[in-house]
Amino acid sequence: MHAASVSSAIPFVGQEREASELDDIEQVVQRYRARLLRFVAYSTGDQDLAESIVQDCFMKAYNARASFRGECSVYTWLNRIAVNLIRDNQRTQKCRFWKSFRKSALDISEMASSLPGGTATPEKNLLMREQVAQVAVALKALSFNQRTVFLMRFQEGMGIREISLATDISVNTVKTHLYRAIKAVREKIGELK
Amino acid sequence: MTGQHLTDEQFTDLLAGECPIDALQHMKTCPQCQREFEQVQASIEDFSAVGLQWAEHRPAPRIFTSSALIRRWNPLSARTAAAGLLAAALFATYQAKRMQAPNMETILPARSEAQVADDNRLMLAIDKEIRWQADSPVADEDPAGGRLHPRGSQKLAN
Repeated sequence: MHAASVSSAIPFVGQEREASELDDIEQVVQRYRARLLRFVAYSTGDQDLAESIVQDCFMKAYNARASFRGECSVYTWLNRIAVNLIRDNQRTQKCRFWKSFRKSALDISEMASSLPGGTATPEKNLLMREQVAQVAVALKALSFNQRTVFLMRFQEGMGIREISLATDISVNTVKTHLYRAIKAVREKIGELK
Repeated sequence: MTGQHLTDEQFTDLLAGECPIDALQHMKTCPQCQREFEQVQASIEDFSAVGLQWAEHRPAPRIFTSSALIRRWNPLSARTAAAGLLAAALFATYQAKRMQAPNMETILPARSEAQVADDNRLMLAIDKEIRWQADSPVADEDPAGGRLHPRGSQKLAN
């Protein structure tokens, strides 16, 4: 499995501090769980599966904390483990014909309806929900790598190099995936006009 | 730039945070590109906000690791559990002993060969006396050795 070989680079100065951060698993969960869950949920499109993968991710990170070299942030490292777990899961799920009958699939419209509208008019709120739904549709149609790169860039705010580290994909390929993903999202949102 | 508006690449570069000067200059003068850019950017931000809000409201299950278990170690409950286990073990041993079938060898003491020989001699003597009495209940003499039987002698004396 990829997750086992989560990190193997040259250590740097921040290693000791980061390693001690990983020792307190409860603190790590509290700090990063929501963001990681969002990333995995959007990546898999299944909320129960996302919960399970995130749980597994924290356990793997804790058990492999000694191998964390600190060449990236803890969150990037967690992301890397999560990506590998999602890949592993996709490989094992490939042949299951009931995959499309998942009962815990993410309902983006339902999620968007819980977002506070603030001072916006009902029309603007409706448009916002439609746009959010369009982004979700566009992402669903993307390849796993394109979706992962897009989510890392725009949700996690990661830089191109950081994404490259977390996904084990070259910087140029990351850029290509990002361009294609943005183009698809832009086109999908353009359909609303 | 193709025509008057931003190309896909320029649009993507801007959205990805890279700022090509010509694209930025065009954005300042083109309300259409500006509107589209803001719309796409806002959609992605809303999409992220929706996901984060959803994730923050999902209950976090507890993650049990060895260190977490050690931190929750309660000496009092551990001692209570140990005492309970000990009591259960003692009770089980006692019950097992009670349920065992009684063994005759443990009840009767072992008999030595000398004891067996004594018993045999006694049995032979009794047998001999019974047979003698059955053959001649009133005889004074032992037919075998010519010696008077004590009980026979007593009878004669009376």
